[in-house]
Amino acid sequence: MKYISIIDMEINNLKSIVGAINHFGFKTIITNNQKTILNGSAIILPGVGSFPAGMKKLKKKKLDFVIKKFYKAKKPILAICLGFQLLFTSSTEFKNTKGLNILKGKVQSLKNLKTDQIIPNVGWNELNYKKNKKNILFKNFKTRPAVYFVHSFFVNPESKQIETSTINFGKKKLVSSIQFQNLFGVQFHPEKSGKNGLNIIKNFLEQI
Amino acid sequence: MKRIISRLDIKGPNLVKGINLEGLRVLGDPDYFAQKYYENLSDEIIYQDCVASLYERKYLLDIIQKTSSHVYIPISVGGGIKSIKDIEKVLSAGADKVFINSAAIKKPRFLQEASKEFGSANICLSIETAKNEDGQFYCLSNYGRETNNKKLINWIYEAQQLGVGEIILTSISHEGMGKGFDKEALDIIYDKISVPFIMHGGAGDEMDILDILKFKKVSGVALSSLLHYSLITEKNFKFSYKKEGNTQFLESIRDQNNFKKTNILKIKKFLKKKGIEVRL
Repeated sequence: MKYISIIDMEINNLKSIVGAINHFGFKTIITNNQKTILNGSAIILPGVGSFPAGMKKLKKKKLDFVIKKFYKAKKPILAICLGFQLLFTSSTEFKNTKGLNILKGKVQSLKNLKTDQIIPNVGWNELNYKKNKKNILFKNFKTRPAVYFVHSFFVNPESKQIETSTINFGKKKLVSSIQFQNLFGVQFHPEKSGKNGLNIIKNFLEQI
Repeated sequence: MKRIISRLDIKGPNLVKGINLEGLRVLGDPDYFAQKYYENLSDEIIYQDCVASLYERKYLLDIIQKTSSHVYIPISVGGGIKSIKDIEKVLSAGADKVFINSAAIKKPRFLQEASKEFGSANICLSIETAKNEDGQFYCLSNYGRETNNKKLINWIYEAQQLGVGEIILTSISHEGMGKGFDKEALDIIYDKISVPFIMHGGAGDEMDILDILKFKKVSGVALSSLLHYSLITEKNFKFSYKKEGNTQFLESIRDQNNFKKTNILKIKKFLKKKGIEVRL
């Protein structure tokens, strides 16, 4: 039986992501069991809360190794919000904390950007997405989709090539999604982004 | 982008609506309204439990659970949230954010504790305000039933220091009237606002919404009467509610003169034409 593992980060609200995946006919299991995760067809790495707390939860069950192993097995991974940030080298939230380091880059506070924007960034932003067929999550979009964000930190990837979309934040641009091989990451919440979000989730699920 | 938020006040199993937070009348099944607003491009749903008594609490959790599994936009919940455990229950049922009012007025540090535990973006402050005889705005608790000596301007400042991620302001005198938002209350606190800020109470038509969203620091509006009364007068509206509370209203509802018949999509198209950025 095919299923998608949602990594159990002890997050309270997983109803919408489960609902969205089930909506497309896939089974989900919320789990922190290594074997269950490795035998699944895909991983969703969700996350709310702080970077250090998120890493601690992964390490406690050695899930950092499991995720890396899954990634090397070339099976699709979708990392959302804090989960997206955890893919990178390190973050300065509270204290300097090492991330999964699958991708190179640093996570920093939106305050460092010194824009006139209100922080946290809560609400809907229109994406500037790369228009090409290889941009899997956005392959069938015709206009700029608006999606839902809740965050105070942002990712600054070393490689520009992995970026698949950005948002305008004051006069600056923030990376809002990445794609690298079988790895997908989004700063926004596709499960909270209406029809556009569902479309993005569907595009990911088609990678299975 | 500015947010157009649907606010649904809940009593027991039903969606209700009053005027000045009083005279609650039953309108129907909240999940049905939430689904309709979601399809109509609402940016967010707020469920506000207006009684929040212990024995009726399970209704609210059931409603959140049901809605969050098929409505793919943020769901915020307010009313009767007094402890970390209360927050956990509501979030586990499927809410993304909580709004706290009475418990924070009683014990402001609760906001700080909750922000630390759940992240400040998920902990929001709800304020119900009214002008006193001395001409100053004060904050009320328990769905406008209890007065305090908390001045609006001081409370806004203090709560933001404690780490709330968002504030929703309800002007009790304007709520349910359909005669426009309370600009006087907004004016008094405007310079102090430093987090996302939502205005609630008073929208009667698109112009009222435009008028208030022109203020840069107003991130969105919460609409209730305007949306509900428009929806229930639609031809294909499905009457269904649990028999409880004042239901006569539903059977004779054509008396809402202050509210224009409209919907979220129409409102958003109007706003966009007037240069306000909204999600369409």
